[in-house]
This record gives sequence, C-alpha cells and structure tokens, in this order.
Amino acid sequence: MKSAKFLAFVGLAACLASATASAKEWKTVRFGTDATYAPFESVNPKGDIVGFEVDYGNALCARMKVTCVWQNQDWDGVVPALLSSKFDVIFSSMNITAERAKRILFSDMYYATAPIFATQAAIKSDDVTPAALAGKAIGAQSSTVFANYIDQRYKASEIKLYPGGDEPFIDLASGRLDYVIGDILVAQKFIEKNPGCCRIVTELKRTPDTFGPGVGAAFRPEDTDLKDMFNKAIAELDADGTYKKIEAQYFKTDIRGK
Amino acid sequence: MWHDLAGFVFNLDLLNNYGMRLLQGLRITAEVVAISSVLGFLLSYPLACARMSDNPLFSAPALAYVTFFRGTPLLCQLYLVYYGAGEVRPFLTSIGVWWFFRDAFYCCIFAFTLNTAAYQGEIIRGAIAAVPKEQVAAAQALGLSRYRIARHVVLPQAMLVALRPLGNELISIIKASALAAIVTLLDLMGQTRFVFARTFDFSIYLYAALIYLAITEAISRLWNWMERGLSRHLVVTAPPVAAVITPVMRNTVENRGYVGQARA
Repeated sequence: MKSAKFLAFVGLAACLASATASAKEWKTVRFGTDATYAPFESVNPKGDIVGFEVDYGNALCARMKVTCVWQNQDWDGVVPALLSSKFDVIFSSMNITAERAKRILFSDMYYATAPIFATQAAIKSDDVTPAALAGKAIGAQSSTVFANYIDQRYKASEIKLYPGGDEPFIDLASGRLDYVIGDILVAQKFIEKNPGCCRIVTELKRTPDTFGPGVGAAFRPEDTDLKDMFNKAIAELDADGTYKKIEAQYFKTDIRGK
Repeated sequence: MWHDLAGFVFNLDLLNNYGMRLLQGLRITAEVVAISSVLGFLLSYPLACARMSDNPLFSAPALAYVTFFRGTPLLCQLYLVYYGAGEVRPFLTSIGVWWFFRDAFYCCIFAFTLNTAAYQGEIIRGAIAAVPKEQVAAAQALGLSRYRIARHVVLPQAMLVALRPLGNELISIIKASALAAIVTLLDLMGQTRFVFARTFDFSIYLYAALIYLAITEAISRLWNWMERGLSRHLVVTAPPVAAVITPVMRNTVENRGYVGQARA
C-alpha cells in the first residue's frame, strides 16, 4: 500500500518534471495576433493572416529554429489568452507600457511608429487639444494606449471604443466619428484604400507615460527563456539586414525606432 | 488557493471602483431591451396576421421577413444595420434619417426590434393557431363580429398560450442585448469590457453574469406569478398550459447564435 502510494508519487513527480522540461525546449511557438490591423496584420481574402508582423515573426522563428503557428484572437482577449496558454506570444503591435509590464513580459521594442489623430476630410482645423475637441466624438480601439490616452485627457469629448483596429476608421469614414486616434501607418493604409474620406491631423509624441517606447512581443511572466530567444533573434535580424528587407516590402519610411 | 478563489468572488475594491459603471451599463441595457421588446410586441400581431393571411401579397413577405430574422445571427443583423448604414450614408442623409442610424443606441434598438418582432410574431401566430377552430365557428354561429371573435374568444386564450414563450423571448433578448457592446454602446456588457480592459480582472465578468442572472431570474418569477394569476380558471379542469403548446411554438425560442466577438 505504502509502496503503491510512493510509486504514484514518483509517477506524478516524473510527469511534472517532464512537463516542465519539455516547456523549456521550444519547438513550436504559438503566435497570437488580432488581425484587424493592416498593414501589420490582417486577414486576406483567402483567409490567411498576412502583414508585416507576420513576415517578421516568421523570420524570427526561422532564426530561432522553431515552428511558428499563428492564431487570430480578438484584441480585448489577447492578454487573458496569453496568460491562459492559448498561445505563447502576443505579436500584435502591442505597445510596451509600464501598466502592461506588471502582468506580462515584453521583448525589446521592434518597431515604433507615431500615434496620430485623424479626422474627416471636411474638418479643416488642426487643433486637437482637449478644449477644441470638447463635445466631439472620438473613436479608438478599446484596450489600447490610444484609448487610454483619450480616456484620461479628453473628458469633455464623447469617447467611442471599438473591438477591432479598423472599425474606428470605418466609422470615421461614415461620419459617426469626428476624430480617430490610432497608428499613423494603419491610418495611411485606410486612407489609401478610402481616398478622400479622411485626413491625418497631427502626430503625437511618444512619452513613457502615454504611448511608451514602441511595440514589443509579449510573453507570460515565467517564459523568460522565450523572451531571451526573441531578443537575441531581434538583434540578429537587425544586424544582418533581414529587418530592413522585410520593412522595405511594406513601408517607405523606417519604422524600426531606437 | 481558497484565498485566491475568495479574492476572485468577493473583490470589493473592484466593485467599489467600478460598481457605478456597471449600474450605468445596466440602465442602457434596460432601455434597449424595454424599448425594442415593446416595439417588437407591437409589430408582432400585425406580423402574425400577415403570416396567417390567405392573400400571398401579405403572407409571402411576412414569411420572408420571419425566415430571414430567425434564420440569421443577430450579430450579423446588427453589423448589417450599423456598418451597412455607414456605407449608404449619402442615401440615408438624402432621405433625412441618417441622424437615426448615426447613433449606436438607435441602431441597436432598430436591429433588436426587427429581430424580436420576428420571434414574437411566430409566438403569437402559434398561439392563435392553438385555439380550436370550433370555437371560432361557434362564435360565428352566434353572430359575433370578426372584431369581437378576436377580442373576446381567440385572443384571451391565445395570449395565455403565448405568455410563457413571450417570457422566454424577453429573457433571450436580454442576453442577446450584450451584442450592443460591439457597436460601441456602453451597456452592461460594454461597461464590463471597459472595466476588464482597465483592470484585466476577470471578476468583473462574474459580477456582470450575476446581474444578468438576477434580471432573468426575476423575470422568470414574475412570469410564473402572472401565469398563475391568469390561468386560475384552468387549474382544475384543463391540462397544464404547456400541454397545449404546439410544435410551432417550441421553435420560437431557439438560441440566437451569439458567435463570440467575431468581426466582419
């Protein structure tokens, strides 16, 4: 009886040990992304997730010698999905902020583009101070640095939050919104597809307490080994010019940041 | 471990900081559900009459309407109204109704009303069909007018049959109203998502679920009470109301296909 219990205990311990051991060797890395964010990630008509971050993520995987698997995940749920192991890394234009870093682990920054205000083409004023936008409808994707920014500063405006990254722009084009706050390249991509609908008013400065330094990959707090693998691969792709090559396929400007 | 669980269930800080937001959201949910349920109910009787009409000019469009709104997910209908209206804005502006479709609140009312009217219409139709034809024939033999047959013979019995499924439909639309959150409306679900985005604290979903549960449970009890009051005369002599519900009626309370938070 006693020995049976002991054997069971040994068996359990062995199981646990092998589980932790296999977790250390990364053969497959599951990427979670909210594919509503062209040109960084979106779903093409064939149903594949495509974009800059997909190509870049795949290049990182090739460098780390692991297999990438991409999963589409609603933005509102990316952090819970990561923490409950639905995938292993958030690779979805997530800005590195102190608030988020309390719960998840960030890689080094791999791109930094300007946050912007966009407005309808008919609105000619370039004034986007909270006083000027009082009573106006401002849209943003929810749970983003952009949403936090307007929520904290534009108390007198009507704030509308959307689950997807493209939806605020769709509502700007339709006239439901007066302003949208978001990423400059996403805005440019949208305006390129919907010429004449809207225009970019102004770029906003990145500071540590607003938008953070830029975008990073996010991991579960215990996966420091995975984070180190990513940081190494990020540095290597910078050094050998792979980053530049992928970047040139998508953007005319340099988005790498410092 | 138990401490974690207790902290998850009794998260007083969270309630203290964001409880008001949930109550504000509850108010929007109540408004959306109340307005669209009542409007849907007002549409349901004409719709049921059109469905039962011998004239295909009435019955065919009514059948198409009911088939479409019961056969497609409410999420899809809401997207069609909200983003569809945005696409055809110049047209809506030219006929002077863009102010209505510009507002997410009205879009929700519009989509939910059309949807629940289809379900409620089928409930009413089924309930009327459940009243034995012989009673109508007897009333005609007595020389009663069409209006008086409907008002005094058919409807009192039909409404009793319809009461239970109408209650189910109300509960179903309360739960479905959570979809309003994805078109920016800060209803109970919208506020819950907002708080979660702020705090990453799952407890808030638990509280939202408890509020939804409390409302649906209250309605379910109210309905039991109403049914008991209205069917007192049937208790001794007739079979229970459930026994006279026709197969048609059972179909009326099927689920509405909430497909997560999928987007177009």
